[in-house]
Amino acid sequence: MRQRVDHFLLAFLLLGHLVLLSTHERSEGSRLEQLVLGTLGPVVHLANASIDGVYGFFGSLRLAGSLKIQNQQLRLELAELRQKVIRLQGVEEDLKRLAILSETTYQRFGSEQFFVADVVYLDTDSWLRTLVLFIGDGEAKVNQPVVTDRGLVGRIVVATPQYAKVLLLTDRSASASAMILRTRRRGIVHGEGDGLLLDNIPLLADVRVGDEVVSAGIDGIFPRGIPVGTVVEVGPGNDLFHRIRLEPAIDLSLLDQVFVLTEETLPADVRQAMPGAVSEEALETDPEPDPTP
Amino acid sequence: MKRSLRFLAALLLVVGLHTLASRLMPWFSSTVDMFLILAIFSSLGRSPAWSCLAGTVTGLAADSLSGGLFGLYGFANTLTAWGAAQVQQRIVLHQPVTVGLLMSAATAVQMTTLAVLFSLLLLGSEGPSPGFMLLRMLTSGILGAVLFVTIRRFERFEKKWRERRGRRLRIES
Repeated sequence: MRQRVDHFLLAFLLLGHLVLLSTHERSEGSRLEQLVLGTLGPVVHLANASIDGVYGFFGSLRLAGSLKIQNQQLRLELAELRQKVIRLQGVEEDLKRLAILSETTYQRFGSEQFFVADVVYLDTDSWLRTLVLFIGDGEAKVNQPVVTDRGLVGRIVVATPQYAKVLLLTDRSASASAMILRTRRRGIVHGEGDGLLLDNIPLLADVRVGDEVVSAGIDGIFPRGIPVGTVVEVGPGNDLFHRIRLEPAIDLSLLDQVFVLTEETLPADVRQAMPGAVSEEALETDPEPDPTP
Repeated sequence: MKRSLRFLAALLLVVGLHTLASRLMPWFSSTVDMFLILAIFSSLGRSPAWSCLAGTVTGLAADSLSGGLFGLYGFANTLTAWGAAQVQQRIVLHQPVTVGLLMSAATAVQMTTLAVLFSLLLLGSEGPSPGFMLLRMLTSGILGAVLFVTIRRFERFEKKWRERRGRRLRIES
C-alpha cells in the first residue's frame, strides 16, 4: 500500500512537472515559478548583497591603496612643478630685468661691448666693499667697469676664469672721475662706505642739491656718462673745495645681475705708450679746471 | 516537521551558496549541482515519498534560478531522488565511497533525464555533452563523499556532546 502511494505521488509529481513544462510561458512564467522565485529571491539578493559588500570593501581597500600611491605621486609631481614654476618665475623676472637692462645698455654700449654677470656674493659689511660675480663664459679682466642700467657699480680687481671680484665705488679706496651733469664741472668721486663724496669741486662752482653726477670718462677706466649719484648735501669743505655728498645711483642691496663692460676706454697703443695712465694715482689727479664759473 | 524545517533551511543555505559560488566562480554552477546533492542527501534514510518531494522542491528551486524551462530540473530531480531512495532502501550506505558512487549515479540519471527532456521539449537546443556529464558526475561524487564524511563526523561529535551533557546533568541532579 505504501509503495503504491509512493508510486502515485511520484507519478503525480512527474505529471505535474510535465504540465508545468508544457504550459510554460517564457514571458511571464507560471504562478508557481513566481512563488518560488519570490521566496528564494531575498536569499539570492542577500547573498549577492553580501558578496557585493565584500567586493566593495576590498575594492575600497584597493582603491584607497591606489589613491594613496597616486596621491604620493601627485604630491611629488606637484612639488616638482612648484619648483619648476619658481624657477620659471625667476627666469621670467630675469628676462624682464635683462630686457630692461639690455634696452638701455645696448643703446649706450652696443651689444658686443658688455656681458652679463650674476652677483653671487656681496660684502657690504667689511671695510672693503666688494662683490663677487659669476661671469661664466665671459672674459673678465682687471679694471673692467661694472655697471647696471641705473649706474656705476665699480671695477673688477680680481679676475678668474669664471669669477671676478669687483671693488665697489662706495669702497673707501675706490675713486672715479665724475662730473656734475648740469654744469659739466668735473671732480673725483670717492667711496665713503655707504655713500660717495665728490671732491675737487671749487667753492666758486655752482653745485646744488639734486644735481646728477655722472662719470667723466677721463680716468681711463669708466666710460663717460654713466650715472654715479645725486648730490644730497653741499657743504664747506676747506678753503678751496666744496664738501659734496652724493647718494649712489645704485642700491647695492638690489644688485642681482650686472654688466661688465669690455670696451677699452683707452686704446691699447695709448695704454702702451703711457704706462701707468690707468692707475689710482692718475685718478687722484686734479681734473682739468672747468671753464664755467 | 523538524525534518521539513531543516530541509528548508538547508535549501536556503544551498541557494545562498549557489549564488555566492556562481558570483565568485562562474564555472561552479555548471560543474556542481548543489540542489541535486541536497535532494540526494535528504533522501538518505528517508521514504521514497519524502525523496520525491525533496527532489521536486530542490528541482523547482534550481529551475527558478536557471534560465531554462520551469519544471525541467523539477522533473529530473524528482525522478532522480526517487531512484536514489529506491537504491538506498536496498543498499546500506555506510561508506563515503558508496555515497560518492550514488551521487555520481544520481547525477548521471539527472543529466540523462535532462538530455531526454531537452531533446523532447527544446528542439534545436543542444543537451548536455558527455564530457560535461562526466565532469558533473565526478564533482558530484567527490563533493557527496566529502559532505557525507563531514556530516557523519559532525553527527558523532554532536552525539558525544549530548551524551556528556546528559551525564553531567545526571551527576549534578
